[in-house]
Amino acid sequence: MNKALLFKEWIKTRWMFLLMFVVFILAMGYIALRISSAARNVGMPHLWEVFILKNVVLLDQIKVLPLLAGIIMGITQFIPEMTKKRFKLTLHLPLGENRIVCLMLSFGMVCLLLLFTVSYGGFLWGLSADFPREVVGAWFATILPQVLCGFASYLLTAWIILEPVWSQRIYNAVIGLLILSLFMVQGVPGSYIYMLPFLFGTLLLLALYPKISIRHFKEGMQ
Amino acid sequence: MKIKILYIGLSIFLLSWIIPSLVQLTMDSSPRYPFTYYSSVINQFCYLDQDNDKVIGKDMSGKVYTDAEFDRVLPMFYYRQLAMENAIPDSIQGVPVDRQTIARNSFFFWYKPKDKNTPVIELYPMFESCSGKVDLENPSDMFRLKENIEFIDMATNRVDEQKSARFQQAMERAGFTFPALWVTGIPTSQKSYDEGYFALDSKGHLFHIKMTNGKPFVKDTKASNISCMLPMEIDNRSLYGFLFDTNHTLYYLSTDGYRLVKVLENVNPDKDRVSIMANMFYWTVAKISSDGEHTYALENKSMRQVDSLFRPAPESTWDKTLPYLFPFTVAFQDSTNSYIYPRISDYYFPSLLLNIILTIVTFVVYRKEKSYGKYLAGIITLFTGIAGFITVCLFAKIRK
Repeated sequence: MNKALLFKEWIKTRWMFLLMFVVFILAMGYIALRISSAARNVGMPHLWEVFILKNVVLLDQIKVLPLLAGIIMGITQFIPEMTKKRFKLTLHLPLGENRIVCLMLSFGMVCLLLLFTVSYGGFLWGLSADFPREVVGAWFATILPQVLCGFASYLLTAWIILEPVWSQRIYNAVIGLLILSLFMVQGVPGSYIYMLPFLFGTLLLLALYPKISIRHFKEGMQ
Repeated sequence: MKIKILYIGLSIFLLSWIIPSLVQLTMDSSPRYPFTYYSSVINQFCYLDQDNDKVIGKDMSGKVYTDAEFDRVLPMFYYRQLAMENAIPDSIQGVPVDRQTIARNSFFFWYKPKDKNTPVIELYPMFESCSGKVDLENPSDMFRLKENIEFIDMATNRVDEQKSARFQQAMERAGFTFPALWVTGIPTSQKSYDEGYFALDSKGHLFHIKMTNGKPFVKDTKASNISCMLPMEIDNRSLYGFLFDTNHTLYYLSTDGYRLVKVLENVNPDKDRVSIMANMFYWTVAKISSDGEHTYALENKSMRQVDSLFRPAPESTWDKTLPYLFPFTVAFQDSTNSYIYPRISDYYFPSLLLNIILTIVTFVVYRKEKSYGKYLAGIITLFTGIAGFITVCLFAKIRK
């Protein structure tokens, strides 16, 4: 039954997932091209100076991509469930309610993890050929909150979509916006280092919140 | 219900951040102090007083100066204007002065806690200090200094083993004990001369490291218990920079045999801001801390304090209003460091009056609720104020 549920999630999301993969690879390719073009035009030493002494992180230009990926993944996975109340059928499957929600959310999280690991990991691996570990570390420290923001936006989207009461959806969206803004505060590379435990804790909380919406759903609240 | 409580907690936390931030934006919150400079002509502090839209120059006796008079009372600060008017005096305090002498001996130093508490990428360019050329040239490598010193060629991203070994040996010979605790310098070629870097070794000794004629120059400055250093380049090359020791005393490191010269005591580098406006006669040193601005006039040669002034911090509208509106606030950034993390303020008891009113409103909202939920909602509002009230009455109503 677990496999069947996961297969259902895959059927729903596969094309959008592949499309996001293509977009991420294109975005990374664009940043890599910009670096290589700058290296040819101004020389590698100048690029080092810009990245190290001016704290320039080119990946900042695509910092909303993980956020959008999370929202799109959530919409693709959960909007079909809420159309014509199909989610009722899902909840009637011979699996515990907690297990169903956990499997669905885990599927989305793993897809995003794969997407972010392959695209950003591949990019940073390529970067490490031309730049020292300090620069790669600073870039990683800069994109980590953005990547966590992608997971947060996914969980928030799921929470908001699964909520059957419209007014509560709006309140959840307000809280969601405040939470997302915590992941996107402008700072120098490394400034999030003490915030990371708080961000991981917030993700844990967000993984629990869809349960509130499902309770409302089961109680038939409108 | 447990998950709901977690939701309520997070909502209160977030609203205690955003609502006070928005309210603060509508009020003035940062204190401003008038520009103050010690006059070497009348030997007292002079300042610019903001009177409505007019800025008036005054001295401590209350005497008002016109713009032209004020320039002449502070010739060490307005010497460019006086030079344009051909009005620089021949001598001040019996010492002959001209534009070049004044410029050469004047400098400004501004320090804010963020200068110390900001993450940096720990790679630095080592300039040739004796290139014999007017402009400094950017090197082709950068170095990291932690467990050892390594020079990395920027074109190939490979460690230059020979150069690294030369510097490593020179540092070990000079008594440097690895790992280095921190390194500081001015990592730009846009400066008039280079004095390399200063690094604190694992035993807390401060070392001077630079490259002269392609060879390493490493010297133990004998300074210890240093918490941070801010290197400077000034025209007369009389000092390497300013340092704070672990006892909150500000020094400068003299180029005359690495002598540590005490400037000011009781300066907390993690909280206080410092400005120094120095000229050939006096340094005007200002320390801005939470209680106000302390300004001192120090004699240039001896660093003897000749005058001082204290202006208490004016209480802003925000400072006055905050304790009555919010029981506590949350912030993620502040002016003392660049790190982002939650900072929860103290609890403000004067807000309890507003909280009681909001608690009564909460009971009205929950009047039809029969369960213990209404009491829980009331308690939450009583202790968390506006953020709790919005949460339990709007965002997350507590039901049985």
